[in-house]
Amino acid sequence: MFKKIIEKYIPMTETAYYMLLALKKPLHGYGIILEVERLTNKRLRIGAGTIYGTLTKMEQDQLIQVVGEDDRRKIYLQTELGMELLSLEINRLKELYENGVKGENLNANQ
Amino acid sequence: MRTNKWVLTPWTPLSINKYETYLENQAQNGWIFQTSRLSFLFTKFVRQEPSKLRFCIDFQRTPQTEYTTIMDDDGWILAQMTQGWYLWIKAYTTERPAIFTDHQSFIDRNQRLLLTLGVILLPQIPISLVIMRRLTAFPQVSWMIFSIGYFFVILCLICYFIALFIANRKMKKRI
Repeated sequence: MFKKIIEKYIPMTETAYYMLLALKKPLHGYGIILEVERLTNKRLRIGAGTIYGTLTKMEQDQLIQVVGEDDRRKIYLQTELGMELLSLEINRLKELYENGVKGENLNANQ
Repeated sequence: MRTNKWVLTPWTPLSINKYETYLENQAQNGWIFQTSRLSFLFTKFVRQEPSKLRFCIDFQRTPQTEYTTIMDDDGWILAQMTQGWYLWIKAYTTERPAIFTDHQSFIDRNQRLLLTLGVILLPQIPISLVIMRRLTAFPQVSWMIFSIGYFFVILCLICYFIALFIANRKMKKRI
């Protein structure tokens, strides 16, 4: 099952990446929009329709779970599967970054 | 001076953004969307102060209450909901807001629409056969007129379905 999830989500879209990252702490839908805005210094503001659609898919794929409700707003949190997927993506991004830096240094030394 | 007007606004699921921009331009000229009939085929505008309003259309078959809660929290006002189509409005000053901010959301909206069209079209196969059989057995004028109308509507729906399917495949390839 995890293999299918990896194929579906990795490489991750910016939306999925930041949503999953924001859900390291419990948040409701609109809370995620604000948290992603804070994380990206207001560069990225995810649309409400995109948030709803992605939350629905991630919940179906068990990457996030509902952990409570606050005034009719569902509160979401990463699952272990979600955490695992996120660290896979972070490692992939690290590799991209490190190889990019190595390439830049090679060019500078030539 | 007229204070309201009805306008024929033919649009297809492939030209949703054109219709959204049209409503936005009308609002900037002081004609604000009030209501629509026949899934936005006829649109009624009222004369008001020119405003900067963003219009966004979504298609949801059976959304949870969570859907409207998130939209409300983000400042979107539901202007109309008809046959699964949701028209959302938000006032803005500088940055133009949007309900969808990635390609995948548009693909998903089209897929929800394709599924609904498929559910409508599938039972039409046996219905069409029954109508054809009835038409050949009793070729009355009233039946012929009804059949022509029926097959015209079905043909339009099939064309929409195919065009939307192709457009969605192209969008998927772009990701």
